[in-house]
Amino acid sequence: MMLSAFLAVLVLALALSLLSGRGEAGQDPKHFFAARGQFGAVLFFLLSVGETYSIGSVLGFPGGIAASGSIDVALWFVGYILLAFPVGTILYPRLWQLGQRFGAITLPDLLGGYFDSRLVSCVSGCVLVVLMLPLGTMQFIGLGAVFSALALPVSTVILSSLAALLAFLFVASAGLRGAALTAALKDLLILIAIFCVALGAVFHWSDGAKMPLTAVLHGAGGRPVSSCTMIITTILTQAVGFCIAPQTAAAVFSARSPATIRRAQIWMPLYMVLFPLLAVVAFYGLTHPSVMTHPDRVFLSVATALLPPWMAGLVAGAVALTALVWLGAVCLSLAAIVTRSIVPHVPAAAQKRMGLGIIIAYLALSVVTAAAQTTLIVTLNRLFYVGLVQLLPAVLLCVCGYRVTPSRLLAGLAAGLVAGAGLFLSGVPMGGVSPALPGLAVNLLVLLQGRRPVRDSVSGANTREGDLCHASSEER
Amino acid sequence: MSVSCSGIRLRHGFLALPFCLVLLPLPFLYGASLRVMGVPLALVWLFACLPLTTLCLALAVRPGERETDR
Repeated sequence: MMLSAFLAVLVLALALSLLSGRGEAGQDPKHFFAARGQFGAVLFFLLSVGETYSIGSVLGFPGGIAASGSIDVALWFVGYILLAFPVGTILYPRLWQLGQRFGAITLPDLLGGYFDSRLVSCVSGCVLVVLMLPLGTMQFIGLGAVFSALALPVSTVILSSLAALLAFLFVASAGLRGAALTAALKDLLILIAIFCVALGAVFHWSDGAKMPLTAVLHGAGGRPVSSCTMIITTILTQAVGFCIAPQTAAAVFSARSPATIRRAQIWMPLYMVLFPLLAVVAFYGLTHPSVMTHPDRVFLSVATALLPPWMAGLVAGAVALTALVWLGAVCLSLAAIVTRSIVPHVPAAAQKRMGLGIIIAYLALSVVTAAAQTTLIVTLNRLFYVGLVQLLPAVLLCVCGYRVTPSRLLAGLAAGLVAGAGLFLSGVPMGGVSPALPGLAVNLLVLLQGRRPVRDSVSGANTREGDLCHASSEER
Repeated sequence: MSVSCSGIRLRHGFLALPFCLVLLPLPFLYGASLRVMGVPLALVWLFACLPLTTLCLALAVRPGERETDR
């Protein structure tokens, strides 16, 4: 029964994706990879809010709380996603305008166009591709947890390969439009799933609770200053990083206008109201240790223990769909970056074909790395942001209308990446400061050494009247 | 022009408000021993910030949209 419900969810999603792709054959690669300028507020909302309830949120968030028995993970996780929305409200409309100016559908496209340098486009594209590799791994680790909950007599690698095939079919049929429409089904199902599991936890709370919540859930630990510093610096760096993630940039360029983006942004924080319910599931796992077999799986373990099999199958299907839809959006961003920014002079007609080949390679690599990877989902998530945030100075120069030479920009980026990733991987204690921040400081030091950035004549004229006024004139 | 600039400043103020709501009380709430139904106060406050942030964004965006409609 559980397996039937699980498969029904995936078949429904595949049917929706294939239906949305009918009659779309032979379309422009810009429309396929980024659905450029096609999405109104609802589709833009569904696509860009996808990361709010990615598998990292649904499994990693309660898993992080349950693994540590501390609120630290919950604070930085909710904090950074929440504060990304005000940042996006300012940043996205400017990025959209610049995307229109340079015909960009990816961040490297935009940076290459703005700094008038193929090298900037290529290097930033390579950086993003390397950073996106753990994202695929992360989704397949989460999918492995879903397969474990189903307890199928088939190896995880084979099941992951089938999941990868499904993710490929989601995007191969209709590109980003297909991903956005499947995201609508995914969001509906995941909202129902979280609500049902949390409701089950509340109803069964008194059954077999080994200890009170106050005994198993810790507030500030032994080093509160260091922990608080870690939380605040992680929130700050990841809130900005969230806004320049490749899949976010693709969603921004898919919007119809800056007004569409602003309207959708308003409702995004409210969409996070199910995070308290995810926390309830984690608390249930902490107070009922017999239910929790593995921290990353607390959400699924509680669902399997408390819900009827068909509903637990529905929950597992919703979680799997979360990973697959998100993978689809990331795959499209990656394919667009490689075909447009890294491989030189790919004709438009060949971009879609080459992109699909890249998606297959990426999915295959992610399946293999997930099979060998044991790191917790949240750790991979943090490593992604440490690197991603090093592109922030370049993005800020664009949106604020300043220019530096491409060589200086790339030197800053390289220095920031080496410093940030080096500190993260070496585990040098820094009093809780996120490794992304010292990396960013080194990046800025190199970038601003010697000459100050010069004002861009076109952007300068626009921003003198204020971004709102400029947006208004474009929309008219 | 001055009306437009003050509008933009107000809009940016509303966008900065969620940062103040989330980050400024955090060092004080994080160490607090007070709990609501067993949940530390810092986490309860952060969850309360979800609707407050939507309110801030609604206040920040509306003036811009009015300008667009004009």
